[in-house]
Amino acid sequence: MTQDLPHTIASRGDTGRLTAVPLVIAIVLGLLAAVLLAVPTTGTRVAGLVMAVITGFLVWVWRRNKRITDRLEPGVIDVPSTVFFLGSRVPARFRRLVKQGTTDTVDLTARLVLREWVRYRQGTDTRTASEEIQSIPVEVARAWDGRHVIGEMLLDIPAFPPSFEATDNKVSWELHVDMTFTDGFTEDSVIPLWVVPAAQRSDLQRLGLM
Amino acid sequence: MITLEIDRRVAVVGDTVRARASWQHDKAPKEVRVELRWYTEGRGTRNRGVAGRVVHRADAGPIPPVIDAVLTVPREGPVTYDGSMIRIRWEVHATVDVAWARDPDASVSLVVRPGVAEDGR
Repeated sequence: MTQDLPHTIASRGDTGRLTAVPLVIAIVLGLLAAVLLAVPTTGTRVAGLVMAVITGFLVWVWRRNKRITDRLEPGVIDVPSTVFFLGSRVPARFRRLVKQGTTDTVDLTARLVLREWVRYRQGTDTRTASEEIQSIPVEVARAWDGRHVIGEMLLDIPAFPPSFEATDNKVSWELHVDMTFTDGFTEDSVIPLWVVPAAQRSDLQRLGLM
Repeated sequence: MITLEIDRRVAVVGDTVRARASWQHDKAPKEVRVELRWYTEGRGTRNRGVAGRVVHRADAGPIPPVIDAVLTVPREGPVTYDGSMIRIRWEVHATVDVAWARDPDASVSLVVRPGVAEDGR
């Protein structure tokens, strides 16, 4: 595919947070567990033991995430514009730089996902909920250039609904790209797509956004 | 009392909607307002937005008993949506703001659709 794809959209979630958050919580909980285990009463020792188990789990999460961030840069897609029109067909190139290990993938799959997200009050608590509403498989032509895992695809943007974002309600489209390497390592990228009603095309062209 | 009529019940983003509000009240109102607005329903906390508004204020002169408003649906939407946790609704709403009395109001719902690609792609 040789189309001009001047815009790049990064996948959601920064890799620094993937490793920093579980590590910081693990350190705090680990210290608390050590203090509780040192107190010679049964109740506090049980609590200390539970915290030690949670700490162990968080250390495992940190190790797993570190393995990912050591090995891969976040995924990106190259696209013709940063907004997508309902009912349009858009060429996209997925790229993910591999820093360590094999670049060879045995499987690269993609799907367009429609998701709803809400925030609501329940008593005095604020809660959030998210639901995958629709999942549409996308055909991917897999390639690699020695450093990047590459997936060429044509995105058929559905005719409905456009993206919507308000303070407590969101309707969003995402591109999920799942990779499996020859050594069994798996990882996925979630790239948010902003889908707009087609009547905006001329407005965006005028503003130079596409 | 207030009655409200609109020239269409289905609109595409970018369309204009013509509304006519006729009001009657014993007291002179402070303000008569006609709005095109959207709101969410469902599990999440309600969000709302006003896309267009025509306001007649008493301090600018006598308010006519019939008010015509031309309101434009924004090109960026949102559009009417019936999801699993979220619903997005549109309406034209008219209110007569009367001092020290209940404010009569009326609403007419509207369906907003996204339209089609300009070049068919």
